[in-house]
Amino acid sequence: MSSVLLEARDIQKTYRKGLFETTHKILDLCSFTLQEGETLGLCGPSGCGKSTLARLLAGLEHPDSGQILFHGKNIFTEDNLTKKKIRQKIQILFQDPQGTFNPVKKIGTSFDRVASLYNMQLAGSDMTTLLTTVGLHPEILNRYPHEISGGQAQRLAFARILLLKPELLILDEPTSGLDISVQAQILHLLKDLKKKEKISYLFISHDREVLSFMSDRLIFLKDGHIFQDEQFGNK
Amino acid sequence: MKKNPLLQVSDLSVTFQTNGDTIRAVTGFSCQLDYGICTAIIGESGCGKSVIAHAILRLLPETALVTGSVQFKGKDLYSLSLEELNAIRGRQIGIIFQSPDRALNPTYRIYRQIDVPLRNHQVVPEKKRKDHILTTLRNVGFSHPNEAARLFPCHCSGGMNQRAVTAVVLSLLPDLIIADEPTKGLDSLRVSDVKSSLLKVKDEGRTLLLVTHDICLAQDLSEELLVMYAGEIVESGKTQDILQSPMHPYTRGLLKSLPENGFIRIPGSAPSYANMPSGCRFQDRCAYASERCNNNLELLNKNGRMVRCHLFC
Amino acid sequence: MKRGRCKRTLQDISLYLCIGVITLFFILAIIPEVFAPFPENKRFIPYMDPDTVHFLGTDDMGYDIFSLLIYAARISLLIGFCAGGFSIFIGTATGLVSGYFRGWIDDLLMALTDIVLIIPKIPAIILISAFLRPSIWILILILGFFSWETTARVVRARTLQMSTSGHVLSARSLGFSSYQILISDIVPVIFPVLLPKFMLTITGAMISEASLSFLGLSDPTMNSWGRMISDAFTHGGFIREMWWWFLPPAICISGAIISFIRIGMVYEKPGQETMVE
Repeated sequence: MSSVLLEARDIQKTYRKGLFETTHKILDLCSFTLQEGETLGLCGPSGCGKSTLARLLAGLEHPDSGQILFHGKNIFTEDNLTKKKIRQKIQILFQDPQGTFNPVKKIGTSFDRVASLYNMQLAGSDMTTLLTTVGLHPEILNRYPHEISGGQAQRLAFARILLLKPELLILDEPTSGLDISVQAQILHLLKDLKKKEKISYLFISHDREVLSFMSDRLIFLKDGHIFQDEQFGNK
Repeated sequence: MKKNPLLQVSDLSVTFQTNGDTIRAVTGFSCQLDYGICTAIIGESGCGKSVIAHAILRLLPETALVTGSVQFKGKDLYSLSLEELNAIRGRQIGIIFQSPDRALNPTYRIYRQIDVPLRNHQVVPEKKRKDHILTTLRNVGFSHPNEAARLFPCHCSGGMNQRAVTAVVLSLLPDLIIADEPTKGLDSLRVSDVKSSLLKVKDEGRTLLLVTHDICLAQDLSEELLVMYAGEIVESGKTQDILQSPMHPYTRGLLKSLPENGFIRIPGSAPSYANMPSGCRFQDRCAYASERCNNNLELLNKNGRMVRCHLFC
Repeated sequence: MKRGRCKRTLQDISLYLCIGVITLFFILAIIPEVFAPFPENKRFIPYMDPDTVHFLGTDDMGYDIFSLLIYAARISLLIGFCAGGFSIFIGTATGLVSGYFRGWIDDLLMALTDIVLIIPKIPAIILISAFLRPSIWILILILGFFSWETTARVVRARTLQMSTSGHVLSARSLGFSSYQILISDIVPVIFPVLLPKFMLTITGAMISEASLSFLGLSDPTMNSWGRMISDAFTHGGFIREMWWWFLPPAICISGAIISFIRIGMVYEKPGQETMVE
């Protein structure tokens, strides 16, 4: 019986819009759990708050109320050292892959910076192994973000995240902006590496077919609430 | 009586010069659009299909080198003066770009967005202009055109903006409408909005050139299909024929990566446009590649279908 | 196509020319002794016309004008650069902190910026210069202080845009600190905005210094190009129509300013193609 990796309890988030401060409750008492080793699919139409929830879970924004527990620890109220460790373990892959790299620097510098931030020694051979895992050639490190395709950028973003050895990866519509053939490649890559790297996924998408291909279990976000879906088995 | 084709593109090639690299974005593209037919160009991002859409209306930047010819109603578009070209742009050839929210001027109401080009091109007499605008808005799916016309783009949802952009283009009553990646990055609800707008375009009898990576959209809308890879046409013919029995290995691979076929991937990635391999550009990823794939190949005619592959020699 | 290429080559030529001019001025500023025929304080017969010994003649005190011109490069450029540098540094720091952290610190810094913006610069500079003992460092501080606010505003606007961009969000999720993000992720991207601003503040400082010197409000012992024009005016150079006294420093100031601005325009490339898919 696998343990609970992530638990969200009664998350609330309100946005203030416009000059006259009309409030819009985008997340209203959202609760769900994510088991270790599973891929939890989160479905919902555009603009319903999926990306907001993703950012909250990744610790990039604070909820107005509610708790987010990782291995039972609240990711916002722990001490700084624990928070940093948790931050390393929960990573997020965004929808616009090229946008996640600094546009005026080469791709390789991004990897070097991450390695030096976490005091990792990154030899050339380590990089080659890492890039081969995601199906890329080391010479891509010399390119700029605008010189690579969306599919290549998404693999690089994934490789960069793998450096941190995360336990949970939040995937916020990772293939929505990609072509069908590239989408197929990325989805297979994510599936293949999940077991190997022992990562759990929260896969967010509006595409039902992609979700049913990737997820072990499905939840919905509608009108700010989370609804469970019946278990559907997946190979 | 068979009419002359509305648009005839012959041997179109587009090359970009950037920082010492020569990027051959499109090579030897030819196609013929007949009146009233919807033709779709499908292919991966970067295969050159959007470049073609821009090239037809001479919207490419000055640094693009364009060879070949684009004949619209018998006139070579590249030999026209800018004034003559502007008379054609919008009025005879309309183009719906990606991201409709960006195509609309945020400071004008929807009414004005449609009214200004209408006035420029003098499509209808002044007295009938208001009715024409409201009729067009109703045609694209606004149930209350009077109210819709008074809105600003920021007050409209994405779907409404999509329809507004279609209305702007349709109101000019162009003969040919080019839709450039109309559904890129959209969710299923918005995609069906776009699809219904484009179906209305077809209902009006317009000729539609659909540039998209969404095979399902192409299937639902088009009669003719052109499959592009790395700047070249690899297969062309009737849409239903190609989708039911694809010939080129790339087309086959593309269809296999559809969700309903199990997301089966094509290995490898597209070649670099600065260093294009000689011969068939798909050979590095093709399961049927052999020695003869190193030789260049023209499009072969196989029972009305054109395919660029040594397997069919 | 050919027209585009010609245009680009002309732009390149103008850029190299301007870089050459600035480099020349810099060299003159660092080692004036090598180029100046005479030291600054050596006196000859005053009001001499230009000849083969004194290329630009001598001024009212008998100093060789050509030598003075060369030595003045140091002062003028020093003032321009230091004031510009000071201004850019404060402006950028303020804009970055304001735009990235928002909240009360943004309100506070922007309020300060607004106050400085409102102060009328030229009268303030004149007043302060008149009250404080004129010295080169006071001048630099004053000129720098009255030009950082526009930089702060511009940097803040760009930082606001950047703080929600993909790569900044990504860097935050990877665990980088705010300081690291500001320095490595935001500054390099807004650099094309900073460079022209830096050049403009340098040129603004140089012009202000020339104006102040002309008004007699700068240190009289400080030999700058502006001071030379001022001296020419007050000590009979204009009346005597000694154009070789006031025209060369004016040309030097103008040349330096034009060159700095051209260098600041290096990121503007009208021929830049955008790749269409």
